[in-house]
Amino acid sequence: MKKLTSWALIRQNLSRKPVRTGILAVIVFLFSFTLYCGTVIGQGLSQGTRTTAERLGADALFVPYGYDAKVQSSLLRGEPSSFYMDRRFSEEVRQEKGVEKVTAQLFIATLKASCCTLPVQLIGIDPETDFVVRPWMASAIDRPMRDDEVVVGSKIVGQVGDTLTLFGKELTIAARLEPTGMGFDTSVFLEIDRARRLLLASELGPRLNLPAGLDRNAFVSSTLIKAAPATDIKELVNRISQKYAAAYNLDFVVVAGMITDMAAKLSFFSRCIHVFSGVLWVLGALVMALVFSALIRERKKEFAVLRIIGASRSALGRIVMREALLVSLSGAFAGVAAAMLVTTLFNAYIGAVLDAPSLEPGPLYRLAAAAGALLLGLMTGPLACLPAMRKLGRIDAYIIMREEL
Amino acid sequence: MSLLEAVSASKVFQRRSAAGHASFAAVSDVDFSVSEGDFATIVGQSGSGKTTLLTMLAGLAAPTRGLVRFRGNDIYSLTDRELSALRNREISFIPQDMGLLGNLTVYDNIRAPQLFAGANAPESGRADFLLEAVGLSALAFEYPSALSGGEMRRVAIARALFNEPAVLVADEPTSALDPENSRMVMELLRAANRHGAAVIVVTHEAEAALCGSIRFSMKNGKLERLEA
Repeated sequence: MKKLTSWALIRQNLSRKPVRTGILAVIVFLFSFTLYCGTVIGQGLSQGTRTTAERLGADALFVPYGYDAKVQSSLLRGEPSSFYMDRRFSEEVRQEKGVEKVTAQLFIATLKASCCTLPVQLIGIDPETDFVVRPWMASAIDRPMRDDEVVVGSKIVGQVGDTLTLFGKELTIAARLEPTGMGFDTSVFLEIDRARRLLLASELGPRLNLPAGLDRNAFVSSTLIKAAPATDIKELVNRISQKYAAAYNLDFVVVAGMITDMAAKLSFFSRCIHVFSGVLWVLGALVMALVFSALIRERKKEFAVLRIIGASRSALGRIVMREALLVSLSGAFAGVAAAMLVTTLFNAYIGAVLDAPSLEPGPLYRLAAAAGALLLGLMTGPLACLPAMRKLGRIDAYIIMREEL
Repeated sequence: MSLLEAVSASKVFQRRSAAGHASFAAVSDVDFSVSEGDFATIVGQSGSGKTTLLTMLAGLAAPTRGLVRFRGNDIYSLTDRELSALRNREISFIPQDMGLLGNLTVYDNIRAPQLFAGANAPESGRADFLLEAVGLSALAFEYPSALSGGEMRRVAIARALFNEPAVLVADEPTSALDPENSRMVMELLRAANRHGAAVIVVTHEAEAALCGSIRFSMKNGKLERLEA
């Protein structure tokens, strides 16, 4: 039979006290889980916000009055929505001083339509003027989109070459976009006039409730503006609003403001998560220190016996440390694994709950976060048992024996 | 030459009471020695200092004054690691209250000294031999909670013998045992002595004390050698 090793003793100590071992492991589990989730969700949201700013490209969006919140939820979370304004505004505003680029988009919600494969947001874009979508579509498709083609966001089901049925028409997926963390991930893009014709020809067409005076062949949902360099965007938007708001019944969203609001919300959220993780770690370590202290008191007899049979103080310390390390290891591994599963499965849902775009961080970042959470989780047990071990190390074996044996 | 000896050894404790702190000498100026092949018994009333003397001899409690020497070397001048190795290999202590490890089986309790003996530890086969010797082969894979007091005491003796120590130090090995178990335990200690270990036994019981080739009596921390 093999020689008895300290690892075998440790295994026996842990397995013969499953409740004690389990409680300690659960404390480490909770800490590692929270730390990983907090780090990865925080990074996902912050990455999603950065991507929103980078990909949107526009400085301001003009929409029909009262739809400013709708366009934000459509852009950020891809909530299907339909609202319409006069296309002529986008042509007129182009002449304004300080306006560098202007493009229009048409949003069509297929949510309740029985016509379509998927309940998605269709976004019609103007190939002549688009500066928002086309630049990153070009990275996915290097030729003009054909009339029967669409480009889909990263979360739309289907491969390149597959067909989607939209308003009774079969359209081929020409390209798939990279994940953006925005509503674009759940949108389908097609040419704006094609989108309008599809809508009008569909069962929704006759029931389409356009605002009075709107030309059925020249309506859009939003007009996006990019300001010329060194232009005061607020001043530009105010000037445009004052001039056109009454005629076109306009509302507006300043993208920088939208991003700043999100960033502020995210920054608060990140701070909360990190403070919570810190508090949980300190509390976890304190609880574990108390539990270890109680356990070491309870196990004085066992330690006295080990001293009698030849354990040095350092050998005794190694046994207790290894026990703490094994408990921490199991808790930390389980915590990080569960957190990885939860953040992967519920990333989009978390973004929706927090009302912010969320982009799952890359594998390297997640690996680093997992390693960090694992390392800190691993340290919890050994650190927590240090004070009790130091106290025990100072007591003479004889004193322990007198008390315990 | 003495194998294990105490030279003018004293152990003083501080006692805390309502009246304040007071010094209490559990062992006063004791000279004691055993040589290879000796079987020493120490008798005395409770509180006479027997156990304190025994733990000082076993390398578990440093004397406040005086020396404890093993093969001529002051054991309390050793580092903790060296003294622990001495306890593991040369001076085995059998505590009064059995002192088994509750999470290990009888078999693993007996070979537990392997944990700290390094590469020179006896093979596990010695545990089989000792189990046989103490008559507990059938209980090898039971946990201590399933054993009687006599069985636990025999396991503790087997464990103390695992590394074939030069000195076996037993604190009240027959206390709370029935006469048959007491005889069995004393026979095991005598057998260890016949095989070369010096044995020091502290006991209340006159019959057990008579086993000693050298006998001592202890009273109020003072040790007195008795006539053979």
